[in-house]
Amino acid sequence: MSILTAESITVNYFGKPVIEDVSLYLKKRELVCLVGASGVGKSTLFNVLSGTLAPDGGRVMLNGRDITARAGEVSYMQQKDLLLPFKTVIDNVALPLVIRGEPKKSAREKAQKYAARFGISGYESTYPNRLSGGMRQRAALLRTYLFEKEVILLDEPFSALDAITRAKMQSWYLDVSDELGLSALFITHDIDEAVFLSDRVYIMTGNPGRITSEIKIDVKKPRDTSFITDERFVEYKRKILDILKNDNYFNSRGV
Amino acid sequence: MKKRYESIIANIYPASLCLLLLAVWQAVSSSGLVPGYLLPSPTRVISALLISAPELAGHTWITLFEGLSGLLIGVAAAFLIAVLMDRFIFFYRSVYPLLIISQTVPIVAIAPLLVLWMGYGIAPKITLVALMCFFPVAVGLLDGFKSADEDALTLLRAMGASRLQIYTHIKLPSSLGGFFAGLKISASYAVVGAVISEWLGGNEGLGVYMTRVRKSYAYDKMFAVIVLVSILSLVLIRLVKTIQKYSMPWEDN
Repeated sequence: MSILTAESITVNYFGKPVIEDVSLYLKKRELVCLVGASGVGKSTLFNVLSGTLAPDGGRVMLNGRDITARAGEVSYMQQKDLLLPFKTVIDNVALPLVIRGEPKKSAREKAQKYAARFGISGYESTYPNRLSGGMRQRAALLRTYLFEKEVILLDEPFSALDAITRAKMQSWYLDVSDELGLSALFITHDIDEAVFLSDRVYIMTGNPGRITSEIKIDVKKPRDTSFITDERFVEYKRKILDILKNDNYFNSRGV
Repeated sequence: MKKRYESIIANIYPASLCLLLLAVWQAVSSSGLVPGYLLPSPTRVISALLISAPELAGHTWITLFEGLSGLLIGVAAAFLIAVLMDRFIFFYRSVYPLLIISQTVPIVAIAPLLVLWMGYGIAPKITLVALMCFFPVAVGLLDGFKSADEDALTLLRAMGASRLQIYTHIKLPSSLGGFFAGLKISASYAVVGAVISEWLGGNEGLGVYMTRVRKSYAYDKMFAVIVLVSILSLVLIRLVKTIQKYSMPWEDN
């Protein structure tokens, strides 16, 4: 049973479609990645799903409810961590609870429960400028989680991290996602990341962007880093690369 | 430790120059190149300051009271106007250009009018200081509000934040840097503004005292008041810096 579905979404910019007839679904506790070249319209699609952009066609459903163009129905984390520099780490993380009207103290206590699991304990009362890139991203992720929506949209959350930190974050994310039962849609450029994390991968190609393939990564979770050197991993990676290689629009642009 | 060392080094240059200038001044005055009553030497100014301290105390409190009240009123008005300008675009568009133009009016020229309208009491003095202190704080605050991260604002709206919450959680803290930058300028105007307005009439205050000693050719006492006004302004600016440090603990410096 899928909790989030997008039904033939179309978005035009200045009369020209940028994404066309895009449909997808997300099941409970599933992690689905959306891969595709830059400019194919992944972020545009996310803006529609998060309700900050009204599509020109199609609709977004959450548990059978139409949430098209309604912000605040799903948790959305952008590429930038957007931690407020003037709030302590714990106050940044507890922000969605405070905004919702929860007293500061209980909001902090609630956030504190997850501090260790999100690797920010010991830094609760410092300011974000003291955190490393990975910690900032985990703090932002905890804040997104505490928004307490059923679906989480993550727009390249690890893309700004160095390779080693990113690999650690991916393993960490798989564990946390499993523990907390997260259902997430994940944008990435990184095919390795997509194969390693996903239950399914959607591939967007062309101009206007469409979802042209869907690949199920049939490797049971929990996965560990040994999966990366597994031949099934290489097989999935080749499959995705082949599809992206045949993306004529981007080939014509010489990308 | 290193920071402290660097700050000592940084202070050595202006301190040495200051001492050098004082030495030259002292030499010029005591050698008789310039008559002592026209340019009293630094030592005479200091002793005048110490001797007249008892009579200066009362005047100082009056001037400080005027300066601080004017500053507070100016800051309160600036806050109100800045929030309105940030919140209502039509208010911003109609008021902001007028604010800029108003700064081209010489404040000193308005002072006699204020005396005419409000009399010789402290009201025109406080008004003048408030007028002088208003602008830097208003502009600093407004720039601060506008500097709030647009994506962070979107994030808060997506969380369902109210307008008030957007101000308390993002806009106000984002504006503190600009606010204090403006406040430092305004603080340096406050005492000087009060003194200027006292020149134009009144019974007490450092400006009144200054006019009196000038008329009695006691230039050493006049210089003493100038020194006192500088010290008061420096203390006020220092105070603002300290308040800033405690209100913005996330800033490293």
